[in-house]
Amino acid sequence: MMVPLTQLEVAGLRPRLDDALTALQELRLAEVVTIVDPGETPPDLADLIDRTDAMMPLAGRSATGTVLSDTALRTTLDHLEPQVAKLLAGDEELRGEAEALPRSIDALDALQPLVPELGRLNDRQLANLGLASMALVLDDPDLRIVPELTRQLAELLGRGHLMVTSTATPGGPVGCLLVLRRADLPDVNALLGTERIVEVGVPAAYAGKSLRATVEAMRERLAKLPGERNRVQTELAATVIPVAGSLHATIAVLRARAERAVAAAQADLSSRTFILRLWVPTKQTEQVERALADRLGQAVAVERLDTSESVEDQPVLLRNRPGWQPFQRLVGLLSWPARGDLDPTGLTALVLPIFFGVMVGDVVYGGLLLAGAWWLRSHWPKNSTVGQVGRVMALGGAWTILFGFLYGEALGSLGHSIGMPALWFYRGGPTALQPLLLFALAIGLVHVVLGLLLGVWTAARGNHRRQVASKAGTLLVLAGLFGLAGAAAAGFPAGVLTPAVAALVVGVVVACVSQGALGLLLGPLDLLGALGNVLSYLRLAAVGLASTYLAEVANQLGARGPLLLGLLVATLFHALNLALAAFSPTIQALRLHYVEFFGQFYEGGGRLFAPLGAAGATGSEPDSATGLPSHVRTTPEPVPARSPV
Amino acid sequence: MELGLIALAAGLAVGLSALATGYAQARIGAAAMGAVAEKPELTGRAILLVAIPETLVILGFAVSAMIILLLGGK
Repeated sequence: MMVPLTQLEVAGLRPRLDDALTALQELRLAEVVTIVDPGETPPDLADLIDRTDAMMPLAGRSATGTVLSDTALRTTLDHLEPQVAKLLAGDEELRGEAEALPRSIDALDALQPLVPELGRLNDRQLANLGLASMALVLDDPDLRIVPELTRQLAELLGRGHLMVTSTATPGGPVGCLLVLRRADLPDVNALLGTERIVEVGVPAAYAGKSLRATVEAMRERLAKLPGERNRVQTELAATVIPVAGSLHATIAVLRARAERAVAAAQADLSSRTFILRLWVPTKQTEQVERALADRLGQAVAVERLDTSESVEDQPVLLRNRPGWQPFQRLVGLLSWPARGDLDPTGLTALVLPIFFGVMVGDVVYGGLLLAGAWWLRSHWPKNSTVGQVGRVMALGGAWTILFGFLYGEALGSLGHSIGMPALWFYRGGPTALQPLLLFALAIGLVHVVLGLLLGVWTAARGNHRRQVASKAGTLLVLAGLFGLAGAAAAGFPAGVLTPAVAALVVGVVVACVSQGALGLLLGPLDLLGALGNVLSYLRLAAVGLASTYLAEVANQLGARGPLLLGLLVATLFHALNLALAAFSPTIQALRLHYVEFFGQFYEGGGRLFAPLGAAGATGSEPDSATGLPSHVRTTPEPVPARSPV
Repeated sequence: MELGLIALAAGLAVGLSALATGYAQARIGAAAMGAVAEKPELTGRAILLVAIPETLVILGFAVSAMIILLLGGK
C-alpha cells in the first residue's frame, strides 16, 4: 500500500543547517526537496571518496577502525596508492603472462616434431654454423599473414632460409620457426617490423635458447606463476589490511558528508537563514518535528504545507508485508506507481503464483520447486534477490501442487497412469481442451474485469469522467458478450439474451462517446483491445498444455528401451520441462499482469521515496554520527593505483 | 485423409503465427536489449514490449483449438 506523505518547510539559522541535516540523516524519514539547485558533491570531497572507494575492494568486508580526518586520509592514501599501484601492475603483468604462455607453449611445442634436430640447437651452436633462428608466435586467424610472410621472405632471401609453421589448434596462434643466414638477420628483423604482422613474440627471457629448451623454460615459468601471484596478493593484503578498518569507517562518514552537502545545496539559503523543504511520511511528521526541535531548539521552525493538490515530483513510499517484497520489486520492474495510482503489489502477490500454478499444475514439479525454494532461502538471506526469488518459487510451487491434484498430474501423465485421480479434469485427456480453454478464458474475464473496476475507481478518484465512462462502457460490453456467449453455448436462460444485447449496445455507445470527436474510430478499437486482453489469457491453457505434453513425451521415451537408459532419458526430459516450467510461466504470468491487468488501471511513472540516510550505514566523525544514503554515492573513477604501469 | 488435413490446418494455424511472433520478437528484442544496455531501468518495459507479439501465437493457438474442437470431433 502507498503511505501518505506530507511536505514540511523547515526554517532555521544557517550555521545550524548541518546539525539539522545530521538529525534528519539519523532519523531516515525525510527526503529533501530541491528548492534552488539539485546540488552535487564538492569536488574535494568527491575526489577523496573516489580515491578511498578505489581501495575498498582490497580492504575486505568487515573491519572496525577509527575515522580519519581529511588530512590524515590524504596522507594515508598518498602513501598507499603508489605501493598498491605497483603491486596491482605486477599482478596484472603476471596475469597477462599466465594467459599468454600456454598459447606460446602450444604453438612452439607443435613445431618440435617437425624439426627435431634443429629444435635441439641453441643460438650459439647455430652461430657456429653461420646460421640464426627466430621463434615466432603469430596471431593469424584468417590465415593471411603466414602466406604473405612466406612470400616476402622468399623475395628477400631467395632460397637461403627455412620456415616451418604449425598450429596446435585450428584458428589458434601459429608457431613459426625461421632458420636463416646470420647475415640476413637485420633485414628480416626490419621486414617483421615494417609488415603488418601481429606477432606474439617469444619473451626476451627465452632468447638464445633452443626450441626445446624454450618450451621447457616456458613450462617451468608457467608452473611458478600461481605462487608468484599469491605472493603479490599477500603483499597487497599486508599493505591495505592494516588501514582497512579506518578506511571503512571513514568512507561511511565521507558519504554522509557528501549527502549533507548535496542536501544543503538544495536548500534556500540567505546569509543568516536556511529553508529546507522535506517529504516525510504523514504519520511520522511529529517524530521529525520533535527530532529537529531536540537537536536545534529555538533555532528552527517547522511548518506543514498543504499538498492536497497535485505536487510536482512527489515521491511515493510503498509499505507492504515482508512476504510481498519480491512482488513489489516485480511491480517496480515495470514502473513504480505514481501519486493517485493504486499499489498493485498485493494483487500481484495473490494472483501471480495462482497463474503459475494453473500453467504448471503438477504435484511432483511443484514439490521440486518447493524444495528448490527452501534450498535457496536457506542458503541466501531472505532480503537478497536470490532469497526473494525463492519466496516467489515457494508460492508458485504451492499452487502448482494444488493444481497438480486438480489436474491429477504427477510427472505429467505418470500420476494419471498409476491411478492418481484428477479432482477436476486431466489435461492430457481427449476431452480436456474445451474445459481448459473455458477455464483460461474465465480467469481472463475475471482478471480483466477486476482491472477495469479498479480503473473506474481510480479514474473516479481523479475526477476523470471520460475515463470512467470509457471503462464502464467496456465493462458493459464484456458483460453483454459474456451473456450472449453463455446463451449461445452454455445454455443460459433465454431471458438473459435481451439484457445482454442491451448491455452490449449501451456499452458500445458509451465507450464511443467517451472518446470524444474520434469516438467512432477509437471506441471500437478500445473494445477490441479489451476483448483481445481476455483472449490473451488463453496462454494459461497453451503453456500448460505444452508442459503436460512435454512431460508425456518424457514418460513415453522413458518407457522405451532398457530400464536404466529409459530412466536417464526420462529424467533429462523432465529436468528440461521443469527448467522451462520455472521460467516460461513466470514470464507469461508477469506479462498478463503488466499488459492485460495493469493496463486497465495503472499509470506508473512514479519515483520511490529516498530519505536522507536511507542506506542505513553510519559512520562516526570525530564529533558526530551520521547516516549513509546510497543515492548520493558518486561513481568512482578509475584511479592510477589500479592502472597497469 | 480428412483428419490429416484438419491436423495440418491446426498445425499451420499455430506454426505460421509462431513464425510471425518470432519475427516480431526478434526485431523488438534486439531494439529492447539496445535500450536496456543504455538504460537498465527500462528492463520491465523491455520485457513487456518483447512479450506483446506473443498475442499472435496465442490467437493462432485459439484458432487451432477451434479447428480441432469444431472439425476434429465430427
